[in-house]
Order: sequence, then structure tokens, then C-alpha cells
Amino acid sequence: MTKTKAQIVKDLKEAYACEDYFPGVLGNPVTFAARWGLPLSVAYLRFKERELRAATRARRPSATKGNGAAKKRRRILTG
Amino acid sequence: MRFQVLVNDEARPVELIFGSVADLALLNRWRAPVSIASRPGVRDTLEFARLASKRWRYYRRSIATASNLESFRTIIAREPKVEISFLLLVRADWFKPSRFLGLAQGRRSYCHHFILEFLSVHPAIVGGTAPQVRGVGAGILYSLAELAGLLGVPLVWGEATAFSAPFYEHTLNVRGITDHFFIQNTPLERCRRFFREKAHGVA
Repeated sequence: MTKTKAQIVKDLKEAYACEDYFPGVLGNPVTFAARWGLPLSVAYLRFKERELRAATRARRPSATKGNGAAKKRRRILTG
Repeated sequence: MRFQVLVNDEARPVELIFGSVADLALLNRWRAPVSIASRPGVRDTLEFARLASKRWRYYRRSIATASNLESFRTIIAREPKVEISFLLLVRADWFKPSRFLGLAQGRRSYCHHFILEFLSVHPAIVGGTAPQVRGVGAGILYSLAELAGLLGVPLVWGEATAFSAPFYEHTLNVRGITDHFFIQNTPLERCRRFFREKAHGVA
């Protein structure tokens, strides 16, 4: 039995519903390159460095903004 | 082999071929449009295409390489325990940015299993530029399962990451995938069935 165009599109949508979760690449270029001793391109390394710097900046508490870590206060004892 | 993908919600055919040296030059010409260059996955997919080319070239000089299904069968028949490298490319003439929409690189191990080393899709598709193409990533996985079935390979395995594990869980209909996946038995049969019945694949 020949399927109609609409049925084919329906089938394809069902088959490819999982593509909502497809990240573009399956694997990690950095670990892959390291495992097989392949050099990463200079442009990609620069891109990863920028990404890492941005992530580190986001994690590190600012020295000038915010209250920072709680400071210990010495208890004044009287008497 | 060929199967169908969705392009702006319309079915379009693509071909799955075994890559050759000449095809690597085209793969290395994959570029990401500037408008989507910063989107997640786009840089990774470009880098992966380059690494795949390098890795495949390296294999080509050191182990057997399959250039089509028949050569795959012949190599196995001649030497049952030999490692065989393969590069699968999804090709279509209607896709303007490149003739190749995606790739899978891997090898057949000495115990007749497939190891999927990586899979990548053209950055323009990952970035979601027009036309919207859907099904290249999953289609490659279904095709790989079909190829495994045709060669009597009972298992396809590979590494999963935090980003790819949910995709494998949904594609294989298997829960709890961590840093590795095994496609065998029911999930392998499911992928082959999806290749033939849902993706309208022809081996």
C-alpha cells in the first residue's frame, strides 16, 4: 500500500521527535582530540578559553560588588 | 542507502554513503553562518568535522577502510578479526550550504561490534537557519543500526556525554543512559524498524 504524503510526514515527525534532544554533536571534541592525540584548531581553543573564562567569572564572587563572604565578628565580652 | 528527512515539514530524500578522501575536502569546507556562530553546539560541530577527517585519515593509513557495503563484507570474509574503519556521510543536492548534511565516524572491532566514535550534523542545521532540517542526527543512528543488521553486527556502542545522553535515551527508548550506550537486541531492532518504516529508508 502506497502511503500518502501526509502519512509520510507524520511518520517522519514520529521518527524524528527525539531530535528535540539532539545537541548537534554526539561526543566531546576536547576529550576526543586528547584521546586520539589529535590537535584542536587554534580558533576552537581560543573559543574554549573564552568560554572557560566566562564560566570562571560567573562562579567567582565579585570583590567589589555584593556583600561577599560573611565575616567573623569578634564577640566583645564585658564584665 | 537512503532515507528521508523533514525540510520545513516536507519529506526530502538524502543518501547515506561511505566517505572517501575526496569527500574530506568538502567536509573541511563546512562553515557556520555568522548569525549562529555563537549558538551552542555550532563550534563543536565544526571542530568535530575536522577531527573526524583527521581521525579517518589516520585510520586509512593504519587499518582496513570500508568504501561500501560490499567491501565491508569482503574484508570481514577475508579476515574475520580485522578492525575496519568507516565514515558515513549524509548527502543531498538540495542542501545549499554543503553537499554533506552530517557524518558518523567509527569502526568495526575485532569482535564484530560497531564503535560509534562520533556523529555530527552541519552547523547550519544545528544553528537552526533556514531551511529547517530535521532528522539527520537520528537518521544516521537508524541507518547505522540498519547497516549493523545487514552485516550481522549484534551491538553498536559508544560514549555518551551529559549533552548527548538524553538524545540516546529518547532515540533508543532506553532509560538511565549515563556515559555510555549499548544498542543491541530490542533497541537495535527498534532503530532498524524506524529506519525502514518511519524514516522510509532503503538499504
